[in-house]
Amino acid sequence: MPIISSESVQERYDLVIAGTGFGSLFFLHGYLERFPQHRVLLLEWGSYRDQAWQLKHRRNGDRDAEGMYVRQPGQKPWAFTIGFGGGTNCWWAVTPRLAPNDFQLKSRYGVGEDWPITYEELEPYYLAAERVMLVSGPEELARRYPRSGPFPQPPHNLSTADKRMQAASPDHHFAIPTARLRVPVGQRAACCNSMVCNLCPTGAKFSGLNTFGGLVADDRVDLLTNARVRAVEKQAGHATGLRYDHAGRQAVARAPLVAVGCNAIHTPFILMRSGLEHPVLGRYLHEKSVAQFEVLLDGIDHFDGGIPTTACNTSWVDGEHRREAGAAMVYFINHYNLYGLRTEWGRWRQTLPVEAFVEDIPQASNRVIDDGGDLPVVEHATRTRYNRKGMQRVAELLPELLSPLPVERIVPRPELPTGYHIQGTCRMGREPDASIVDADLRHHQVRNLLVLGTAVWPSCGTANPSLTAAALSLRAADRLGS
Amino acid sequence: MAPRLSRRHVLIGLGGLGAGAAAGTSWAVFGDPSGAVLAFLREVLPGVKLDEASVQTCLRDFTANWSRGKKLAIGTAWRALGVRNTAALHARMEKLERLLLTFFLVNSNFFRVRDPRAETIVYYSRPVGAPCASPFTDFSPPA
Repeated sequence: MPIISSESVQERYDLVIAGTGFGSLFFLHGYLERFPQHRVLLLEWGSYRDQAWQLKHRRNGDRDAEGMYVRQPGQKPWAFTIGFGGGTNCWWAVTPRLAPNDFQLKSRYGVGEDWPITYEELEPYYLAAERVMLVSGPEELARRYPRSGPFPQPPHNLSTADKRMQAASPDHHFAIPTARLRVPVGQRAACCNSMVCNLCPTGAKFSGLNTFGGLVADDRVDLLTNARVRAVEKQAGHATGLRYDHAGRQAVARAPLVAVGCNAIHTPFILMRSGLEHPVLGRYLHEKSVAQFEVLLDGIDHFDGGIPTTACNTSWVDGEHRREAGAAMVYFINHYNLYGLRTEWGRWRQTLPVEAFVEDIPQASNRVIDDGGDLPVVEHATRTRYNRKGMQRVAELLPELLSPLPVERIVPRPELPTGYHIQGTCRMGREPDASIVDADLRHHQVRNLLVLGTAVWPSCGTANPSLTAAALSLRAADRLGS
Repeated sequence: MAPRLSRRHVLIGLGGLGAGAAAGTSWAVFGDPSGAVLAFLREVLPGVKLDEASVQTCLRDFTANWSRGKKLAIGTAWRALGVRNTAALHARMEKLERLLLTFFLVNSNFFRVRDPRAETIVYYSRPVGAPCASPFTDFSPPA
């Protein structure tokens, strides 16, 4: 285990990072490629739990998310993993990019916010992140998400239902891009459709452990676990390090470059405790809604694809409807653990679970608060009317979308309480008055402080955010000093 | 340690107890639900010869990660009402019924034999979450 003791923490590093999830680990990777002689300290609130531990205990870390923030009564829950690797452990490895127009929602459709960068600017870093994760995907996806290079791995096999959908809608129905290996590489096996992807028993899924474990064990990197970062230390408008608790003691790790890459609930809390108050800090907390349906099929068997989620349908990801209602990505689920097989004799597999990730517009009133207590308080009282209209649109148009399939009935299932994608609270933007960080993830006021991860999202989009977080971090590392 | 009972489990268990008491079957509370599970499987798999001992193993594996409270509540309801009638009470119970059937079918030889009515169907004991569990997955190599 590449963990140091608190006594081994050096007097000074070149870079100190809070958190070890997607944003942090990809920034570390990019940073050490640019500055191979530098030394880095990672401070992780949770423990280092390897794959064997996670499989044995059937969980990704020691602590439940519910005990690590304060949720207002009756409001939605939020899910995250505290521990080395963060969300790279629990994620299901679905890696769509944001769509080009997700970056210009306001200028194209008059709602929400634009990002301070374009899809084209981020594209090379998307590709770089996909190469690190060894993402599998179909080249046809470039029709919707332009690419400058091929996917590192070929796509996984579609289900029978997917093949019918794709034949009828070749420009919108695609094998899913995913960081689950199609072809084994090194110690990572090909995905075997275990359907317990949060615990991936074969290592097919990209995780911080199986890809960055070696980097973290490198002499240039120190990892201190069970170290809770409390605040950014500052002097004369510059960050000088991170103050943290470890084993009942408080200490400061010093470096000329500081990054906070925790989740979108704890990152703003740390910045608030650092005296970095700002009118939008902690605000615009958001995530997609997840509508669920069970499609009862008449005459074709399902669950014969290669992985637990086989395909995405992009029909509603972009378009003029976004002026009025949230966009939606529709996922075709290929595992039977959601609703089970059917009970009628011979029709066991004639059921297709479908999920739609529906965009929301971030609202200032949904926020993380520092009430003086030990944990951040989360207020998320409402979804927008825009989101609800998007959900309604999905339900109304789904029969038409599924018309290539022999559908017996579409059964609406309960909306998921959380989409597992916490976004916003330290939004990026061009205007220092209206955002926390710039396009390079650098804090507008404290220029040697970076915010990594999904906290910087200024708008929601429909894509799972991990690949974008990774790409933004690679770009931020590349842009240091420019 | 006392079993932890959620409100939902209490309601389901009370429903089962009430029905059981009404039928004069107080034995239901203390019995083994594998009989109810076997009856359910026989109903949805008519004409299939089931290996009864392995059905018990299946039930053990299916409920391995359940709390004591959940086992008590669901087991009581299944014994008193039957799996199918319990499923009719609530969408969550219907889902549980389907997941139980699914667990048995995919972890048995049911989908692996040519005619499941011609051979005894045996549940293979398998650690929950074991990799590569789906008998339907298309693993054909990339073109």
